[in-house]
Amino acid sequence: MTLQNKGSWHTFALSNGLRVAVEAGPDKGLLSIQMRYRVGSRDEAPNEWGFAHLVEHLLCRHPQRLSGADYHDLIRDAYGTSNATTGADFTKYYTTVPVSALGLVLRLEAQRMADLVPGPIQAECDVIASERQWMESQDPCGLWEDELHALAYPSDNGYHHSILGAVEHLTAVTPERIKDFHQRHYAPNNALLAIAGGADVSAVASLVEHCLGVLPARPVAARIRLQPASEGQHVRRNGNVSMPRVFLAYPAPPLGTPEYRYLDLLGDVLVTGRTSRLAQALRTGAPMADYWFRLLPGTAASLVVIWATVPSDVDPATTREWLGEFLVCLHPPTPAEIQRIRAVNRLRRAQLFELSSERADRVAEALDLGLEPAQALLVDEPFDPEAMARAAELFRPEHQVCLEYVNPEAE
Amino acid sequence: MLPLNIVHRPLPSGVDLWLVPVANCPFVAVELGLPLGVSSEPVPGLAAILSRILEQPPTGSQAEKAILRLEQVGVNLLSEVTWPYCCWTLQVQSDHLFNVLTGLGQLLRPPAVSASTCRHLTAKQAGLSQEAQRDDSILTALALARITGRPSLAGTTLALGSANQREGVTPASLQAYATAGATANGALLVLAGGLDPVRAADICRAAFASWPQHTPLCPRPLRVLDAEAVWCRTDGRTARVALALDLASLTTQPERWAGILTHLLEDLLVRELRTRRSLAYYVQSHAAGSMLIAQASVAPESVEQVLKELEHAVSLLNEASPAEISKAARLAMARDIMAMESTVEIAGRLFNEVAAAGGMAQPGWRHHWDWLQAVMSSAAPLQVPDLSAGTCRQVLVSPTPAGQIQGWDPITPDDLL
Repeated sequence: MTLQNKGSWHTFALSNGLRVAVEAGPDKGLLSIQMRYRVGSRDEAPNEWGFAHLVEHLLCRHPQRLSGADYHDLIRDAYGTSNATTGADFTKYYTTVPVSALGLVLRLEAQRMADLVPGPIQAECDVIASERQWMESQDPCGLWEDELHALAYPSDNGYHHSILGAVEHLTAVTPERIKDFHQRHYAPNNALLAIAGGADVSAVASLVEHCLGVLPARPVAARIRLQPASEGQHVRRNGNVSMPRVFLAYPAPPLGTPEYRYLDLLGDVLVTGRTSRLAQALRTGAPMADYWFRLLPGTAASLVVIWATVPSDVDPATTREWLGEFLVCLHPPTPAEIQRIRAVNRLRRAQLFELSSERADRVAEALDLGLEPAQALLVDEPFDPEAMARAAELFRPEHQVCLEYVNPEAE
Repeated sequence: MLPLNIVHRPLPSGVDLWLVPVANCPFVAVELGLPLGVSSEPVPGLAAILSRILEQPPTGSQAEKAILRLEQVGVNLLSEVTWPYCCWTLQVQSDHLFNVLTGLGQLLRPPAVSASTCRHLTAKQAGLSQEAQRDDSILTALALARITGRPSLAGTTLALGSANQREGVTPASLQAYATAGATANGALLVLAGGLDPVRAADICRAAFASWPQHTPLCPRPLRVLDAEAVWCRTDGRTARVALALDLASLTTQPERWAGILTHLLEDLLVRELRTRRSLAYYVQSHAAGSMLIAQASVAPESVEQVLKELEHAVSLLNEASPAEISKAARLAMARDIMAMESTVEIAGRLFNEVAAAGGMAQPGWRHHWDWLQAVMSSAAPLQVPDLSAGTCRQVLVSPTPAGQIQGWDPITPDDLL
């Protein structure tokens, strides 16, 4: 393996294909480690919805072969914290531990990669079912992301279905099928490892090679090519909402592209601070009570979402039409707006990157997207006003997907 | 990692100033608290309405110009109202500290408000109150605060006020309240980040030099519910169960023990309620001062069972072995170290600790760490203090329980607000 210096980050690849990035620096007592697999809900076959998320649960919460205890317990015993997340494009396992526990974490990650002991599958499916129920109970719009994805992408697109899966698919899961899913996707040549916090790179590289280098590469299921997003749609849902909510979504560039980054900055122009466009609109009588902006990232395609809550004396259709028109007529950011959002982003990034866990996450994502670690951790990013202007042109009505939550009892 | 260097520099104007230099940090996290909290509002909801007015001053006013200048250097000013304070949180590049603090001083002045603005904000606040009545987590926090007499357990939710109690919110009452509360003495200011304490203290002295200094409003006590158990009946589909164990009566280090035992308790609850029996999706335990809190989000039909499990888990703490206690102490220390990666977290923790102690106590981090070290390395067998001396209270936020829970007379969400 050849070490390449990326600022304070060193990257290398093991002979089995595992790509690794290690942050050099003085020992500060803690390390954050993220193992990221290029498998998510988009990689599930049509009868496997929810398998990626279920594998994540099983690998975290049930005793695995070599350890005899579940992963979370072992990390807690080592005075660390751990968690995991499944997305449409990835599954990531992140851990923060004292430096002395790095070897333990790497051995456990090797075990997770090598094999899956299914454990009580149905009990874990019950936990996932209660997760969905809890999300719905906390907020009548709690599953809005799933709903928008289902509207924006056709049913044969990997982004269409929920990460939580389908009840009928999870009910039919067997130990053999879930192990097979694991074997098809959990391979060193389908994974990335980032270690942040400051370390002796040579020592860490040797430890990584020792723990993970012994695992052989495996054939990995090819990533399913995704169909384009659907044309515009409008759906209304009844729910126990106190105030109606209107979500407008539009197709957006993939995560990691320059266009995605400028769309993210445009969000600050729209919603951050008193001088944001929507704050000013609200002060001058826009038909909404509150608003927000979110990007739903995807490595193949993203969605940009703007939503508004509707005052009780306003028809949701009025809010929907006003917001759609507002977005179509967006003019590019002014120099003053650009100065403001760049300052906001500098501060935001400076705060985020204090955390070793955040640095590990950004670098793992960068490796996944084929970007340089140093690029992912820039506090003051370069700026192109023309690219910024192009971002404001994305909100075409013919591509709009609209989801409304209304309360028929209130109406 | 060494404990932080915390510098206390009360200003001549009366502002209680605390400073934490953090090496190599390019920004400063600022937490400012003015005595405009719920405890001193003459009318329910007034504090929250005032904070909204201060956050969004009238177009063309000096205060608005101050906000615009702040935003141009990337500052995103956020406010929230707690029991003792209206708190302002922001982060600023170190180079801009003086201008930003001076701008804050200009911003936080008693506003001129029209009657229509008053009506509009009152109606909006009433709407927020109504919405809060659907939120299990808000109702649980309120119930815990009212049943234990600890307003800090409610966070910002006490500022919501009842949807029905809005009389008295007028331009005159807002002005009077703002004038009385915008005073340097009674203000708490915490700065953490890339700063030199001497220089930063000079900046703060200059920025707040022209602030009025008068006696802050007298806080009133929290309205408490005189009960050991509270059931707030809701229309929701899930229930939330909480248990609060007050260790204040322990003779030795009740707050330190609460901090250690919370880790043991969460372990027990996650293992039993979530992993083994799938009784709860959400399970959490935390310490607030000497109070140990455990809560779980469950199906209404599981309420009785989960209440018993919570009590059982607390009783098991008495049987924790010295090895388990030492391990929990290490975990508490590891968590503290992890939290201190974040300058914003440092500022927030320090602010909360000083505020909870009424601004009188020295922050206990150094002593806390010393104590944790002693617990971890103690050669003598460690014993959890007798927790039966603690006072235990229960909270249930739920639609009508399916089971028969005796002695639980329901209250409404509005009773909590």
